[in-house]
Amino acid sequence: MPAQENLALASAGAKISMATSWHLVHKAENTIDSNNKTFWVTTGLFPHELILTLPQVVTVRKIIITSMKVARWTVESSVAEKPQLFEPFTEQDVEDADQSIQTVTLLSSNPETLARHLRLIIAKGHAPFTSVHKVIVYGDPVSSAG
Amino acid sequence: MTFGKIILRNKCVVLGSPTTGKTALTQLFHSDGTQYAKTYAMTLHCDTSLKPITIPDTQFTVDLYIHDIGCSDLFAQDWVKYTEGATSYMIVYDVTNADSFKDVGKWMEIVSRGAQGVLVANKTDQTSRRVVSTAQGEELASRFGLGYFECSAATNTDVEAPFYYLASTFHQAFMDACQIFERGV
Repeated sequence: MPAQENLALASAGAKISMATSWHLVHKAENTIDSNNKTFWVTTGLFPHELILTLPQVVTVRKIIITSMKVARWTVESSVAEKPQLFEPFTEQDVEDADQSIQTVTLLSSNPETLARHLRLIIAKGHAPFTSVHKVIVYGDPVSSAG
Repeated sequence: MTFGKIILRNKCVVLGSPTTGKTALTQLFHSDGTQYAKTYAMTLHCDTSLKPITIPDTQFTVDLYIHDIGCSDLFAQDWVKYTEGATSYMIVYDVTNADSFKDVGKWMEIVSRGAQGVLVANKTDQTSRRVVSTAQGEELASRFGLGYFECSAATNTDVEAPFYYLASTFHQAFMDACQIFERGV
């Protein structure tokens, strides 16, 4: 069993292919920059979403997201070369943590789920605006025999 | 990247008894004062329009998604659906119509808690027919925790003010939220 390594890091080749809101400072790339202090902010109304693209196809073991004011995550995954043809991964309600950070662990209903792209959808919020501080993806690469 | 506006999205629902001038206010504001309906046509279900509002001296624009809701009882079953997820609301009454003022409490029950609201007294050009005073309006607004505005769609007087207020309040709420997110642990 290899040591757990976060695959959702810009330094490891992960990138944000799409985000539904833009802010000069609080940009979507802050979710994969390995810094807990920086965050992506949604700028009003729901749903909002991020598409996270990993450097290669992996078997996703779990996704851990730190956020504030998110009320519901809906996650989809895709193995296509481009971010398209998404399929349901999981859905989860999140309780309000007031002014503290929420930490959510998302597991696929199917433990063998492969993904190159993960579409992280904030379906609802506990407030008009929400933040996503860090996205961590644990999994095992499938393309190379490691 | 140094260019670009930061766009905040705000769903604003407009409620109030029928014939208080919700559609006239909305259309006048949306068209920058050029469109005023000269004949009455009841709003069916819900009319939506998008109005970007620049917040002065910032790089922010608030996109106001205005939902002008048909408030005839015919559509009562759909009000909850049309107001769902609203982040701001405007309740309009007619200063020449005491019943429309009495109904404000009923519209307050429909709007989502936590959203920012304004109370708008319309038709203030009708001075001789006016039955609801400024003091009464202000008193009710403060009881509900709403901003209070008077205007006249017919003479295009002060129509923008309540919309600008909602946009500005929303921008302030965003700045406050970012501060909380920065402190979050």
